[in-house]
Amino acid sequence: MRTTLTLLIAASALFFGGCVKEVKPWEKETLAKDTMKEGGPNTLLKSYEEHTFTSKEASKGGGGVAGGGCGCN
Amino acid sequence: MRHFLLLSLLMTLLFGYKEGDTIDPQLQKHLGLQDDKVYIIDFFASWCSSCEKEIPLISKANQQIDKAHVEIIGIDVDKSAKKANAFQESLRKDGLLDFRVINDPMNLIIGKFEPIGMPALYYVKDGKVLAVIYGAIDDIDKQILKDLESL
Amino acid sequence: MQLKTYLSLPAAALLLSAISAQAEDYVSVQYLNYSESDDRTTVSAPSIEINKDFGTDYTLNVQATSDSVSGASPTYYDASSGPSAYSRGQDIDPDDIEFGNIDYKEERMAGSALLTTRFDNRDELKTGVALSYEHDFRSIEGSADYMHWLDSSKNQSISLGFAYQSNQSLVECDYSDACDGTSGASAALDSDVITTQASFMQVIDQDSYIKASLFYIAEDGYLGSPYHNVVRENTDNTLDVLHEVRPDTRTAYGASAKYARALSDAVALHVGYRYYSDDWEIDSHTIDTEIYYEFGDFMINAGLRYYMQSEASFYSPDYFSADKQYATSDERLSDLDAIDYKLHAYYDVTEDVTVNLGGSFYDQSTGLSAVSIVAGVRYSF
Repeated sequence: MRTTLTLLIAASALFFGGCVKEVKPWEKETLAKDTMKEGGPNTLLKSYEEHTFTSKEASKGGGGVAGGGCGCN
Repeated sequence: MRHFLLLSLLMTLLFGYKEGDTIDPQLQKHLGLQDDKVYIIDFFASWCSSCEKEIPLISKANQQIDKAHVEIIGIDVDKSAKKANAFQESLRKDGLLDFRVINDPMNLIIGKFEPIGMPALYYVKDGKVLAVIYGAIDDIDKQILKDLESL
Repeated sequence: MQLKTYLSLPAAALLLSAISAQAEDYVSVQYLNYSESDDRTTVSAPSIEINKDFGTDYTLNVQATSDSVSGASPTYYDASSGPSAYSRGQDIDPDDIEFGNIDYKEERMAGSALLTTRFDNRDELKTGVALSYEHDFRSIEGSADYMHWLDSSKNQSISLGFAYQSNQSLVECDYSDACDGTSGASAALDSDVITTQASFMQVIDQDSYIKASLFYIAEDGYLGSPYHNVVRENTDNTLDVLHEVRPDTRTAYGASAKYARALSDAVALHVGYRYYSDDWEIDSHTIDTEIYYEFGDFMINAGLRYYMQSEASFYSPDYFSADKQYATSDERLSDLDAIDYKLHAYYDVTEDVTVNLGGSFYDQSTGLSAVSIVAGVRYSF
């Protein structure tokens, strides 16, 4: 896991190293917006969607570890 | 990792104003700073929710300070002056903001101070930075009164 | 001048970036109505979410949902004894075997609590519990996710998460040796799921960031569905209708990436991709795009999601031979693709109250399609 993580960071650093600009704390107005949040502004809607997709498809994961089970196999 | 963190922290500290630094005389004039008075300069923005939480508390402290010797100045760093004014107006209307605010839409003022986080609160006297508080504190009003006492 | 720089003050809460939990207290109530084509499953699910800050170092998020599911699920059954999930049997006349919808009904209650703790350096630890309860299913989960800032400007972070879930399915007695068949009681079959995820987030500029993740999911125990039957072709040409049999372990790996960019003050674009692969030989690709458009007191959210997967090695849409160990007729384990379109509208009634209404259309190559309608209100305090 450690190696994978290092590789992931290194690869991302290489990839974005060229185009990343340091954003100062007072320049985060846009990034702080609800619509820029990873899951969007409506958490419950995201949960509904995740629940629907995982109960109708055979894959899951990638959206964080917290979730909860359901008897929808 | 630790060294990297320390280094980046140092780099930031080297560039912005920190404890003991003298504020550029022109900027002092722009902010309306007079000698022999203590200034508390609070940087905030409408989109910074932890700043928004602190403003009413800072205003509360403002009612208890000796205004002849201490003044609180807010610096709103919103890029849109319209947004900044609307934000301040909504706070003032509810009595949650009662100190002078300077809009800094071009970020020229905060660009000089370069705080490592927001909100950021600077204690300034005779053009010199006495102390800095980065980030929101739950009881910032009590902290300010306590700090002023020790001055 | 005894004042010092408060740099190391434990309570210092440096600005939470876009990637952190939002520092806002709110209550959100949403209602979902989901209905599939061909009178299959319909779901009615009201939910409530409360998000509350405690000082600057703690945020608690609590969610609760109640699902009412009713409808029918397609599988094989022995038609001579009527269409019910219990219509299994041995040495059945091939003419009596049908593939069709079996009725079912479920009530589900689920709840979760997630506590975010912020440390001196504004690193975050999210600890959570989640519970789910149905008459024939119980689940409990614990999770922890640690996010560490790599730079002082908070433009780069890594996070590592771990979750353990313990599930219990109650099934009919003919399913399990662990059950005394004569009592007619049901048997409990357990499974557990371990999920780990490592992520890297990088702010690219004032308007965009990217987040890349690797994840690993290991499932162990009873991973089947009590509602799905399969047909075994015996050597003597008779047919048996049996419960499906899936392997009792499943290991999956995957990678996902998310890119979010504000195209203007009013428009935000999200693009996501996920790759998933498991040892049931299911590989999948998901591409997800969403756009948010704000104008005045309104916001429109439109999304398009494309999903494709390969079938499980033991997927047997037709009869399977007796020499095979595993079989399922569950179409969700087949080779399929799906597309989902969504459109939601938000309106700020006042500064603190936002209402939302929208829907989505899900269309799967198996023939399944579904319409979801979601309506809700959010109050910030």
